[in-house]
Amino acid sequence: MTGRRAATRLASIDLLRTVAIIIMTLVHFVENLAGSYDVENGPFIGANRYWWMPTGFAAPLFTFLSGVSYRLWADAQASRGRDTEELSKITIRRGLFLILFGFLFNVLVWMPEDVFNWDILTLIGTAMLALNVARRTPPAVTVVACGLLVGLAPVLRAVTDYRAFWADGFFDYDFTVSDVVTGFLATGYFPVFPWLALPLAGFLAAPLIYGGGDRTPRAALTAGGLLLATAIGVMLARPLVPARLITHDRLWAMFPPTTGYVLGTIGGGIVLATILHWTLDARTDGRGPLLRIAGAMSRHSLTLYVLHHVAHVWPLWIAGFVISGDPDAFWQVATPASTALAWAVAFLFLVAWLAERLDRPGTPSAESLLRWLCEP
Amino acid sequence: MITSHQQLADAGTIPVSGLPPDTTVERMPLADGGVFEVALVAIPAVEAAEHDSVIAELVGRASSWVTAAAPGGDPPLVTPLYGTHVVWSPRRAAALGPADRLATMRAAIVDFADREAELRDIERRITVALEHVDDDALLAFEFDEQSLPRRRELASRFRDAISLRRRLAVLAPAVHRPAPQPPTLAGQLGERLRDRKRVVERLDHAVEQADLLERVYSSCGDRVAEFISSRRHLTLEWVIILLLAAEVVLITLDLLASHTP
Amino acid sequence: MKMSLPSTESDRLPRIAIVGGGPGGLLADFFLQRMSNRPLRTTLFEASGRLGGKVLTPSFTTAPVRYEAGAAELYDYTPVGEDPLRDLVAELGLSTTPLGGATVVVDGDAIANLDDLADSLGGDARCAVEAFDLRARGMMTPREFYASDEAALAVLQPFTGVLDRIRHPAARRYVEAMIHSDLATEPDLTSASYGLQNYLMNDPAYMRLYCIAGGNEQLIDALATRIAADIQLGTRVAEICTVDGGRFDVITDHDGHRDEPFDAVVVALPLQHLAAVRFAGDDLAAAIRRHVVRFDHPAHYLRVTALFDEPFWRGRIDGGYLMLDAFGGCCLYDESAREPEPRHGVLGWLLGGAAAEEWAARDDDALVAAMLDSLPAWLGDARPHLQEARVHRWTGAVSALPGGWRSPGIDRRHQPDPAGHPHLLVVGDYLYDSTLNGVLDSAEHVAGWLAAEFG
Repeated sequence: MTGRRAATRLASIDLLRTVAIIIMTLVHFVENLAGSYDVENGPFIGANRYWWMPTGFAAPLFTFLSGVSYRLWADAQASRGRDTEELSKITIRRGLFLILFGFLFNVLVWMPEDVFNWDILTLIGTAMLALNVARRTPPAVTVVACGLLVGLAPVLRAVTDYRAFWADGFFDYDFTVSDVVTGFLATGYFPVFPWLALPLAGFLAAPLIYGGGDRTPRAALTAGGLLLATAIGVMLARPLVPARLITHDRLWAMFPPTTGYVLGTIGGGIVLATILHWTLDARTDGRGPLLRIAGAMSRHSLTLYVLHHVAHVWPLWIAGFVISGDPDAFWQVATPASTALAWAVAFLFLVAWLAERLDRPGTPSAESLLRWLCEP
Repeated sequence: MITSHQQLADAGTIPVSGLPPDTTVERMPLADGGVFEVALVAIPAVEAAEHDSVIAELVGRASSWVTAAAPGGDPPLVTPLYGTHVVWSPRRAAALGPADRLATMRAAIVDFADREAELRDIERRITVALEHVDDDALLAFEFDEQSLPRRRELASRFRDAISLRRRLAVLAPAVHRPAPQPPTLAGQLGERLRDRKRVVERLDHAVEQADLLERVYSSCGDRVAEFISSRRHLTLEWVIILLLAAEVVLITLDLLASHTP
Repeated sequence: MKMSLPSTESDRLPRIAIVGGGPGGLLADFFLQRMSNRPLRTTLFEASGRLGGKVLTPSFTTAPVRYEAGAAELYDYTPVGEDPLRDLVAELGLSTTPLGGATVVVDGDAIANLDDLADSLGGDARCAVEAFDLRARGMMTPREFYASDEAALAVLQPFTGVLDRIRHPAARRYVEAMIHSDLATEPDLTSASYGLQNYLMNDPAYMRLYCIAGGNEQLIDALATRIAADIQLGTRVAEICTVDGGRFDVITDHDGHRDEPFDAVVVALPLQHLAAVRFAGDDLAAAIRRHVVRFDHPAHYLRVTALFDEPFWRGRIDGGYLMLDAFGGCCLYDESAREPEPRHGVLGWLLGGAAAEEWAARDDDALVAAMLDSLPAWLGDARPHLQEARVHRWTGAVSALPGGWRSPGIDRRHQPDPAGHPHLLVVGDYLYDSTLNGVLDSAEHVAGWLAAEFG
């Protein structure tokens, strides 16, 4: 079954998604167990260590790929004659599932008061709903939407006083409708403005990257290159931006996502995906063991997302509650960064072993629950 | 169309297998890229009692020569006309008659071969084009986003359909032109060949088929244009909606922010 | 619900009498039924035992082979304009076969084209024929040929005047041989217009010829099955007289007076037979006499058709007919060419004009012998193959100058006495061009008039 699945899936996408999962796991283990990677932590970890730079790339790559995957899935379904209304139903159901699943995740993995922190799951769920509209409108509309999402984000952050919602690097909101709505739109971890632009960009870029058969996808590389260039230009033009619109000192930052960061990660995602597709997908004649594992991990990314949090966050809560009566007692001080990194690597090996077993028919997983609920 | 013809390199007479030694063979290009050869065979003066047998012998030999180059080895068209005979196939023909009539016969045969080759080429292209009509006809009724990648292909087929109509429009007057009056041997021969090869009927059929192609691909073009136009309108409407939504978001967040203590 | 007979004058169905069961009478009733908005009661009187008049396709007795004894071909005007007869033939579901024949035999030589003409008669003769052809086409264009009813004044002269301009004697003989049998008269007895028509009919740009597959009489059979008239065969109309109310009594040899008068009478007879009917009333009789005198330009045809045991001339005649210079110019039809694989051979001679009138006086055997002698030697020896021969004499059956020297208006042509007897109308090919197309136009015009009046 794994082999058959591998024949219909693109190895490049599985590989990219797995890379995002790996980066996310490493970052979260180190960050949550040993503290922010922003601070220098020994000889290997730190913002001044260049090899740590890709850590900000995981979330945008993952959300970008969610748009790409949706486009490829929708086009394949349509080419098989599936009715567009049926596709809409499936998509909306998936989106609502992911939003509710995201709320539940926030309550069970984090704290009940974190239910509306607008994490990546609720973003991707919202993206599903938006992608369903994008599928049924001309591409130019989606391009304009992306532009508005990216362009208005700094304005909205300025209007809503973004920094007032963030304390010590965490999103902190009051349980009011106003804060909840503002967090959803502009100030949360992954607010609509501008993060929704990434899956929409993936949706737009997919035909450019994957639609040309064996030909070099010049259009995709050009688009990716132009976005990267624009990102650099935006960062260089920072001195021209009114101070009111600047909510972060750095040119390249994830929280809040600067314009250069958003454009750069979209452009980089396009270029990476294009190069990998060109080099990997056309020449893969059956997958090696690494790509097979990547495929399994990619297929169960939702389950792995939950599992990796449970694996390192729940022990923190339990240990803190048991030992000192405060679940937060060991938050970011549980281990040194190197230990946290080692545990992350060990967890990843476990996940690699686990992922292929999740493929077996009848094995429960978040994906099987999603399919059971959302597909006819 | 034929623009020139030339005699074979050896010029004048050349022995052709099976035909009398004084037979002249001329060669010229055809509209479909092939080469057409016409042999001019002078009927010798013989006694009346031997005339029929001599003619039959010559016609038989000419038929063999013509058949050798016929596509698929199909039997040639043999037509007698007022003391002359013509053996014709799309690649070769033989004109048998009195020596003083051969030049006028050649002119008629070459003219007919040129037109017939053009018609045959058009028929072949129409046959190829008709293979796609059933699938493309759906797009003449309804065109959607998924069909957009086929736009260039449809445009190319429309262009081909118009090209076929143009070629037929150029060919039709020559085919339908009545033979000169009072009749000449060349005119009668041309008319006879035209009738026997059913050129007029074939032309009419080709015109009908080309009309069908033109209609289908013209409709496809209309549907494409309509779709693109409606898509532009839809895009504009959506952009307006998005801008309004962005404005609503901006105003909402501004309101919320201004009322937050 | 039982239909009741009309009880009042206004309820009574109009009664129309049609005298003559040839193409004119049949077409008149056919069009009358089509054009009328209400039922009409028509009675068709035919003196002979058959319908069809000059359209006759009998069979030989020694073999079941048909031949044309009357009208040999139909004219197709579609190269120039609408052809109602062609449309009618198609509507009746009849198949047609094109007819053609370019050969004219002069002094035993077969001349099929200008090249043959130059070889046989010389280059000067060819030039003379080409010049005549050019002149003829300049005098009458295809549109004028089509609308020959409105011929220009320039062609209202004897046809000899046109032929005299052919200076080369051999060329003139060639042209005369080509058209004599179609003309059915001598050039000095007909107009330039009519003569030119019979020359230019050989040009496909003006007209084409065709016949009905299976015999032209199928046209008659098809019409007869479609008309609703009460057909009285073997009933000759002896007299037509008027009664009160402007109606007509039609008195026949068969049963004397009719009980109910007719509201209108259509006389669709050849002119010679029209003259034989008695019209009571001085005014009416005088009008008819004037009508007859105006159109009395008799022309003659003689047909001799021979059946042979095989088409021994096969391969020597190209086309459905050729012209011989014998008898002043006659047409030789190869009627077996109309069949794809004929077992027998049928040759038909059509003589016209003075030759037809002269030879019609001879007995059948003499005629057949003369016809066989007229065949050119290169066609083969006919006598050993002869099986049967038939002769049909059509003396005075057509008009040498259809329409007369100056054709009156269309209404006037069909109403000999429009003021006194507007409901007495005539139909005939002699009013137009002596063709079936002409008789159709005539019948259609009369039917339209009657439909407007009574329908």
